[in-house]
Amino acid sequence: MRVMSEEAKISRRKFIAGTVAATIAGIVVGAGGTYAAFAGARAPEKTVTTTVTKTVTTTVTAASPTITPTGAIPSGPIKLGVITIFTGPGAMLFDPGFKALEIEVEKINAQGGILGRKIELVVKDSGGKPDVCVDHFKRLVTEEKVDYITVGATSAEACAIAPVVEESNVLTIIQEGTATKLFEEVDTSPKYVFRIANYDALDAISHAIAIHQAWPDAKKFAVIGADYVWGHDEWNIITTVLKKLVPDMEIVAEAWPPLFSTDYSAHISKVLAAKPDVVELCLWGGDLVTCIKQGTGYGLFKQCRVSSVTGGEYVWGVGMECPDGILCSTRYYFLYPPWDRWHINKEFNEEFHRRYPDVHGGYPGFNCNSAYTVIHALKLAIEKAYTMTGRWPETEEIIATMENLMIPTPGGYRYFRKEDHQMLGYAISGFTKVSAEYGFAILDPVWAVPPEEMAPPPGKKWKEWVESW
Amino acid sequence: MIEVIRFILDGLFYGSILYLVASGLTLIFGVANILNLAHGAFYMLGAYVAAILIKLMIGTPYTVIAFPLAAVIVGLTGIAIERGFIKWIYEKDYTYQLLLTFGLSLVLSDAVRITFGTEPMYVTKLYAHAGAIDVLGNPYPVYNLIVIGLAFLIGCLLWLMMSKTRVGKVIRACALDREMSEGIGINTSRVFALAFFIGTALAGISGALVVPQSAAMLGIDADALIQSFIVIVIGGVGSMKGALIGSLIIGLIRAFGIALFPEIELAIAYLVMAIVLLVRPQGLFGREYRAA
Repeated sequence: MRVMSEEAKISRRKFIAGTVAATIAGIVVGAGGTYAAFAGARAPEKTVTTTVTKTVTTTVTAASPTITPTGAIPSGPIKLGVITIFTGPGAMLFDPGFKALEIEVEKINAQGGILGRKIELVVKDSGGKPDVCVDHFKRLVTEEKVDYITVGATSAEACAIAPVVEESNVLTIIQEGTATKLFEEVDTSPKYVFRIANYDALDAISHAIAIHQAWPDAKKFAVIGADYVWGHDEWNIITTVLKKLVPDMEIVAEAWPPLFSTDYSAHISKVLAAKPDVVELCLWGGDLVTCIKQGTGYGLFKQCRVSSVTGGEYVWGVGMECPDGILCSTRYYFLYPPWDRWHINKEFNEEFHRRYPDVHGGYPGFNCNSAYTVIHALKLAIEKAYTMTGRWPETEEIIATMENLMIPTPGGYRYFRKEDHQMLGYAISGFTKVSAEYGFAILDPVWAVPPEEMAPPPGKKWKEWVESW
Repeated sequence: MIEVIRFILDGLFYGSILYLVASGLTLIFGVANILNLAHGAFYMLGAYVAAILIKLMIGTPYTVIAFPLAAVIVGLTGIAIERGFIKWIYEKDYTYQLLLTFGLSLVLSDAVRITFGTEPMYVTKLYAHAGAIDVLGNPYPVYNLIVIGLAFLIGCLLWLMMSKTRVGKVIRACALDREMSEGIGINTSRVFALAFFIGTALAGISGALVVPQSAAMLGIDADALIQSFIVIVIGGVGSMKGALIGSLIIGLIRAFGIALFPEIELAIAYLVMAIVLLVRPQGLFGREYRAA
């Protein structure tokens, strides 16, 4: 509000200078006053000031047609539909994200909501199943009549839901659902769909860059990867990038355990037999923890260098027994940007830790950062759009604002790209180092790969782009 | 050479875990004639119970008790479920038991999720503290060897019980002919409950043994169930010896398959099963199917 009142002072000077403007402003003040009377509960001075400021600025400086504020801010709460995963193995990924979303919504509501409207969550569980996710979406739109929707979804769900969203005209922000093909193939010119998290290709490209930065001499690579589309895709991208960076690299062994395996012994034996320089663990969650644990027993970390495209927060599960020096990458890392230099991250982490010391190792993961970003991006976009329209913005107006929106998140500044509605932020890489303070391995040193280095330009597929290097 | 020994050990280790789950499944089928689709859920329950117990006991000399204790707790849950639900459908058509046990598997895994949360439960120290020994110049985890030894021991005990004790003879009698057993005064209902206790406890101990080197997590039940189905189909449904040989075959073929044909790791077990079904439909040690 402080910024707003300074702007108001400037505007008032302009206000006195132009009689035409003054007349219009007079009308506007009147309108504002009427609106304030309508709104009732809202403080009248505040509303009038804001309205005058914006309208006069528009009239005087841009001489464009005046936007007459209708003052129509609906009185009811904003209904935000949330489809996420609370059951099945995917719950482990999305449950902490939902907790972070709740924390932020509570915080925003306690501060008066968005333009005075409280946010009300209408929550559905998809169980990670695409058909259920689509059903919930339709029901949220037709029966619950929600205003906006956010989806904490798997890749398959995101790809299934995107075409339905485009037909429904409901602004839908996908938190993860990081299939590369979502905006490369499934929904090439999205209108109502936005996605927050860095997608799979960005994870893999940034990770491959980090591997090369960390170990420029490495030539022989091996993988233990989860045997489903994500594992194979990530490895394909990582090796494509590495081939560009290390032309004489070779893949010496591949082992593909199924998802949720509890035994990696034979896979570890196999890659060890090939004597690679670097072993990539293309696994996540409990799978990665299990593989690291078992790898320790086989001397994997003594015999070769090990990297993991998702490692950042999953290594917490290995506790103090995690070997030092595993190169891990992630979309958001709880200690980066450092808390003393980025207060949003500090507050975000401290609040989560205070409320959920036992969830997800006690600190927010990349899903939590995405959930935070969803609700704050929506808030920022609505408020920005409001300053232009002077009334509650239509979905299309919010979308126009959201395209190119830059927003501070716990993980640093992130921005939506207009062309493909993909949010970009930097990717984090670092080496594991056990920390007695946290009781698990943190990343130290840790560094960031900026989006410009890892994101294909809009409209370009990752493969064409990487091959053009 | 060193690789071959490693692969054999890896295969034995995987086979050991599999043997414990599959022998429980096949015991329940052999005795009570129930194809227990909830068997994987008992395995998962064993993992979670063990994780909790180990967390409570870690650092004390009693930590090893966590494993048998987890097995007993799962076994008692097994009895409770048998007495509460399964008991009522022994005489009914197979469809009922498939629907009931599948329903129970969903309920159990949801109960696990609600009770223990969605995140994997890890235990530290045990696996690392077991250390590694030198196998021809390369480290090999001692924990794996312990599990192999333990599975061997449990296998021997099961064999002794089934072939040398009165309880074993009664169990086998019930498995062969329920009506006749009742005719000679055996309380078959109790025998079935006992079979459920032993069967689910075996699933429980297997799940418990997985925890130190992996984690208790949602989703491990499905894989355990499918793999043990493959094992008992290969070995012969209802045959304890079949479960042992089937597990060893799957364990070893998997280990060498991963090394030689990584692309078809998932398919290898099914391929072996398909071959066995073609050549010997009743499984390696199975009886001819009785007309249902």
